[in-house]
Amino acid sequence: MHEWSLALEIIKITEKEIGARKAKSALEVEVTVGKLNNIVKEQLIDAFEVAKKETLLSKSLLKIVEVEARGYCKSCEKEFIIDNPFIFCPKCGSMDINILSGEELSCNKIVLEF
Amino acid sequence: MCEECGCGIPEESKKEVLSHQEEVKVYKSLLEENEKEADENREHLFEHNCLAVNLMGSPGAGKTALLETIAEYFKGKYKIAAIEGDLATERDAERVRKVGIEAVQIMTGSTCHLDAKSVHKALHKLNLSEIDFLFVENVGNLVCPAFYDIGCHINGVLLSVTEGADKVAKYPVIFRKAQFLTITKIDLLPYVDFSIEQPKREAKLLKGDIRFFALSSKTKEGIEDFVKYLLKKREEIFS
Repeated sequence: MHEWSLALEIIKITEKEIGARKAKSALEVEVTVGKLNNIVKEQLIDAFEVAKKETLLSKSLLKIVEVEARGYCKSCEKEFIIDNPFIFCPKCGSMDINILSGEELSCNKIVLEF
Repeated sequence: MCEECGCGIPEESKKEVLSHQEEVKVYKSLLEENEKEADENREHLFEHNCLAVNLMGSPGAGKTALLETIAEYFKGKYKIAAIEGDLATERDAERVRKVGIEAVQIMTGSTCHLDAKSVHKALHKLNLSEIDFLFVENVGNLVCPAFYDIGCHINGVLLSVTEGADKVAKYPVIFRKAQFLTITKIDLLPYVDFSIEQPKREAKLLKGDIRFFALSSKTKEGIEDFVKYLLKKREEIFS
């Protein structure tokens, strides 16, 4: 949904790191995207490819690591994969769950060129 | 041949050997900047004893109508102000000003949600030390506002009886992040298929401590309970 603004944020974070470490440019940026964010991977890559032009990331590739959405049902105390928009326990139907993973949205690693 | 030391390595490849790559670990949230600004907004509002409420809901859920209606319950006792978020027009700000609510309009252009930065700019236009309650009426949308903390103390969602009782399960993120769910337009219940119990049950399953209200801005049914809740929250947060 907000792939463009996320791409700009990735560029901002990376440029800060390039400046802080006095690097020449970035060659690869790895981001983690939890599936509950409903970010369309291809759209994020497309947005990045446009946004990176004429920046210090112009040579870099965006690597997206998708994180599966997992839940924990407080009623039957079981972990499960969340794979549809309704977040409920597939065993007992309860919606009283903790989200264990799937909400991540972060820039993790950058390969810098010096 | 190298001109510096006379070795056989050509200058160009010496330069290539000098450049190197390094992988650095960053672990920074892509929403970190907004989260930081939101915390600053919240702190700033707290310092001025101003309770801020983020009102979310679909377009037409009745957010502006609710503000118009509750204005009279605060008149003479508490000063309320509003930040109105829409893509275009000042219509909502104009509506609430007519009932004595000082309002700042944010026109987002095409952005489908308010963020902490735009709210921060709007805060500059208000004299917060005089304001007791600040209502931020978010852009009509059940999806995107959920992802952007704008720095309010309470987040709430309005759901009207004409929208269908299944919306809580279908849009869990926004309801999971809310402290209250208010069903609006209950005067229309005789004319629509809407079970108040379904969204109430599903919201409590998503978030056990969510507060639930059902009201009508037209008939004023249920408004008093909602106002009492806001007054109580103000007492709790600023005690």
